[in-house]
Amino acid sequence: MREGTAFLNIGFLTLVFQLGLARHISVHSYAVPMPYVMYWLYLPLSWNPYWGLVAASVFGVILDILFPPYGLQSFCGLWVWGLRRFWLRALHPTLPEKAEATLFQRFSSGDFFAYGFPLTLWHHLWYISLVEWSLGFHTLLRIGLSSLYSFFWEWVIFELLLHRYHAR
Amino acid sequence: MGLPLWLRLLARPPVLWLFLQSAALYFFFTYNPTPAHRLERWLLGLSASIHEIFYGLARPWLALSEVERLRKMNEELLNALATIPFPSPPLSYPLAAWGDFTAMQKYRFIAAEVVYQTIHHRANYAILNKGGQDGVYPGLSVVGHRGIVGVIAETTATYSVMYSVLHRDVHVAVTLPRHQAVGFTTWSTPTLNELHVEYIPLYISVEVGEEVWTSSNSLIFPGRIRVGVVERIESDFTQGFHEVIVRTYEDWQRLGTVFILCPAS
Repeated sequence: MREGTAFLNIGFLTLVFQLGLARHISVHSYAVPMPYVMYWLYLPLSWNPYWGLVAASVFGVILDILFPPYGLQSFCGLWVWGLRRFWLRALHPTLPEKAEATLFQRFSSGDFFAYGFPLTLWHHLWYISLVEWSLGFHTLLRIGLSSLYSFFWEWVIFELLLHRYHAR
Repeated sequence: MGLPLWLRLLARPPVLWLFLQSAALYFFFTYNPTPAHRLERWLLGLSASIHEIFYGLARPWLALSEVERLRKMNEELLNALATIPFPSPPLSYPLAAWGDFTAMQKYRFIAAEVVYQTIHHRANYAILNKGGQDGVYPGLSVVGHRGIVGVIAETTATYSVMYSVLHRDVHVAVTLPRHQAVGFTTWSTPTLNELHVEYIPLYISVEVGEEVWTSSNSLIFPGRIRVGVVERIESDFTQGFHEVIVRTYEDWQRLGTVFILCPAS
């Protein structure tokens, strides 16, 4: 139950961040932070996949309503949610299933980067290329820079909140 | 009793994931016009490229067919032209055929000197040193040694004002004696010693160097007085008339003694 409220807090926090702060701290249009990807990364891996799918989709729909174009946030978020287990298994093939519940407790910053950044990049690759409907140089630049910027904020959340939270 | 196999298959998380992704994409493409516009633009570009390639390949054949079409059109037009009846020009007679009627009208020549004249106005006039006391009155014509000069407009007892033929409101009926075609002089552009003769029909073959005389239709001048010589012809085929530019014999800048023609009777 504790981890259930934690992912809800992350979702709420990143939504507030996106609504209130993201626009003001964007670097022109090239680096737009979207740290709400953290929500899908942080959804409990130990959950029943149906509940996980519901939780991922509902957050996507809320984002769609708040930040159109409709459907795109759900689409990109479900990608992250769908790939994260395979990616984690690819990074840590010997990780026991039970350890998934305490994953963020074990993660160092380097582990978190290896886990979170490629998935954030994958999310931004879909999101920005579909919004701009282009894969030109400027779009790729935006994808790369925005991914780095988003991951920076995800890392801040991870270090300041989650690491301490799981360490308690 | 369990669920049927197909429903169990459909209810599996990967299938549900796929379904949700498809629904999300459906909403995205339905509510976002950009991809549709870009796709439309791309398809237009593609179709334009295909057309350009095929047009490039077919261009020689298209050119040949165009030449053939123009050849046929030209042939048809020539055939049609051959059947159009042209209006026959009016009969022209030599001047002497009708006799010389100038003897019917006797004129008195009143010699006058120009004491003042304008040059660069659109309404050029001159003041002559003969007036009502000499029998001059408005409406009389004035000629020089070489041709017509103007018309008396106003008189006082001792002076009279003569409007030049180079005046925007003076129009004189003239004729091309070779064809007996009647036209009217106009003067609106400030080109000294140049008159425009209008209303000469296009079927008259006017030539440069032809003389222009006053017409016997003129209410001001007696007929058959020399006006000038055709300098150039600017035919306006949309109007149906020639526009003939005539160089006057009289030089407005070198007027000396002029003669006011006063009917003797």
